[in-house]
Amino acid sequence: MSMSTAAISERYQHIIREQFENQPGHPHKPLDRIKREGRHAFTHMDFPERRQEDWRYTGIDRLLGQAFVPARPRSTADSETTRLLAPIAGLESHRLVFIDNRFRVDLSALDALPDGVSVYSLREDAPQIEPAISRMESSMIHNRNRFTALGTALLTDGIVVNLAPDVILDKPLEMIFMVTSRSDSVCSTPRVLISLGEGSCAALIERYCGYGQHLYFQNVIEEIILHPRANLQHYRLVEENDAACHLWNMQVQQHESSRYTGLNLQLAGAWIRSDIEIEMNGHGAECALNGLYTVDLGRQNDVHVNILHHAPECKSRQHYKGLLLGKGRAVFDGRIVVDREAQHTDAHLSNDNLMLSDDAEVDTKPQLVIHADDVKCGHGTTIGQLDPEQLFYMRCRGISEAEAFRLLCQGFASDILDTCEIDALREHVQSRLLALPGISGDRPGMES
Amino acid sequence: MLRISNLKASIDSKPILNGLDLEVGTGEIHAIMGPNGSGKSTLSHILAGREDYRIDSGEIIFDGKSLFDLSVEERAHAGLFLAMQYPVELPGVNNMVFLRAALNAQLLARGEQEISAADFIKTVRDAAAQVDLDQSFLKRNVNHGFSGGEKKRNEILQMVLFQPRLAILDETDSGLDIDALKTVANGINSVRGPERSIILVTHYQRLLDYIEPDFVHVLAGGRIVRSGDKMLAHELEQKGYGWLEQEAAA
Repeated sequence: MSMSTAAISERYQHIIREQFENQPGHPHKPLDRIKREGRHAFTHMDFPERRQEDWRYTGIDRLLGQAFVPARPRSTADSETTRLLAPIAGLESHRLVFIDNRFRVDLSALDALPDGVSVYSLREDAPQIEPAISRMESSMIHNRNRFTALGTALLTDGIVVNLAPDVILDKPLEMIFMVTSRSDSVCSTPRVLISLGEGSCAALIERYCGYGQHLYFQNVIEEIILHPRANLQHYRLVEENDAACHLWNMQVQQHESSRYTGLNLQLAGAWIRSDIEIEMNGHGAECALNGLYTVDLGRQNDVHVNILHHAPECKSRQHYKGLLLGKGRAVFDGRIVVDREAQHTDAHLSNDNLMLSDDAEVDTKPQLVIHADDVKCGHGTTIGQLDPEQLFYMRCRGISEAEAFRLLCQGFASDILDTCEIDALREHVQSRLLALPGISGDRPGMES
Repeated sequence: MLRISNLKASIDSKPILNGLDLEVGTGEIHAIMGPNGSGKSTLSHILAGREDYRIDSGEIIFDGKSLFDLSVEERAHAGLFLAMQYPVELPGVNNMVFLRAALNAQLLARGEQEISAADFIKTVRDAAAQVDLDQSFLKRNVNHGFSGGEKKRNEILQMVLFQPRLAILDETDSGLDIDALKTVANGINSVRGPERSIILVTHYQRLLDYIEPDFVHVLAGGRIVRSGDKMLAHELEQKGYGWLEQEAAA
């Protein structure tokens, strides 16, 4: 069912039009405003092509094989949904569930949020939603590429999280996203808007749980503002199903002395791409972004990070690691841009890859673009293989080759996973990593 | 316990062992000495199951079974332990996790029960104390950033923990200062017993000041050219290896 790009565009135009005309109940006027922006951007853009530098290594055939239609919200939860919603052992959180393009208040647990923390749906009434809509209009993230335009044009719901100044969130806010697709044709377009007031502090856990085996397209747009001295820990665990596409566009704006700590764990999904932009707009802001990706079979994982140092005395760290199995393909494209005004920037990025198969491939491209003259910036990338001496040493002590392989994979990932400050989450992720078929040895194809 | 007969082995068509015979009885300590390049490390590696060597002839029988029929890990399960000359670093692999995985793999393979977490912690702490290795090393990654002496202690700690039937210590004394040497020797002496055999592969006699061997063998040109008791080690210390190499060549 291959279609030309022109035919896909045409089909999407039709789907977008239907979305406008066919809204159940009365149209949501504020939301329509931002959707129109998306529609306009979609109409005036082309899909990315390989000749564009930042899409050079990303095959988007899977994404353009068809026009995905927005998932229809359901009002119930089936048994698989319930299973996937089971809490992580030992994790205490405020819980928010977003399924099939809808914020599901009935499945969420937000009653115990402290004063000064508000969490609500983008479908709320006009006065409440107005600031969020204005914010989306001014952020222009829908103009980033044709997929963000599409995600905006097809917007049906989203999540707004606001922390008032000096509020400290007592437990992590856990957001769970799912697409309960029963055909290979559905997309979800979650929009997440987060704002941390001056001096506030929160941990956010964002989880994508793969439902079923059907191909779906999770098209996530996330915008985060950290006001002066705000502190956000942002954990993101992507475990889509084996057929799914996951595209994540995020923009973080950091004001003076704010701190952003991100941990991106991209463990499962057929096609995953993240486009991260962190703007360091205020003096003395800090960000630390760590990530782990795994690819196996013919899967693809793409990481694009742009750290923009606009203000002086900011510090940024990026460290991504990749475990490459089977015929997997990974891309790491990390860039640090330091403006002329951003003196005394301290920035570093690194990317390490462990090739566990002869057929896997990684393209890694660290870049520094520096316009200031008094900065400390660096980068480093490595691509290595398991050391046979290490395997031999462990076998010599009675550990089977498969177990030695697992321990070494876990060891490779450990400095990334150790940055997780929430014990229950770290343990969960460790066990999820070891349970991946290519690592647990449950599937043939392991290299020795 | 161990019988090596007429062992010939080569690497890249270059012969290293040329008909080596050695018999180690239960409860015995044997020292294998010899000049550089005589084949000492090759012998240790072949016993452990390294695959870089070609076995041209001969056999190795360990507790009645041919060693060549056992994989590297099966040898460990059967109670064979090699303390390596250059212990390998395992970045990211926690020492406790590693030691417990190894001990449990050996116990399970022998049809015994896995050790409980509480028992393990106690046992491993005792073992660390015995080899004078600070408890903090148990929480670190295996050998990662350890000094030469700390790596050797970590090897002996494993020997104390696993209680092997046969321990082969490949140049465990190299690079140790005198205090570390004594500690390592104490560790080795502590596992000495009627059920356990030890092969000390060493270049120098000084380790034998602290561990008294039952037999001393000289390896030269890929075979044992002289065997004797501990007095042979003293003789070597005085006269060097030259005279034996000449005899072997003659």
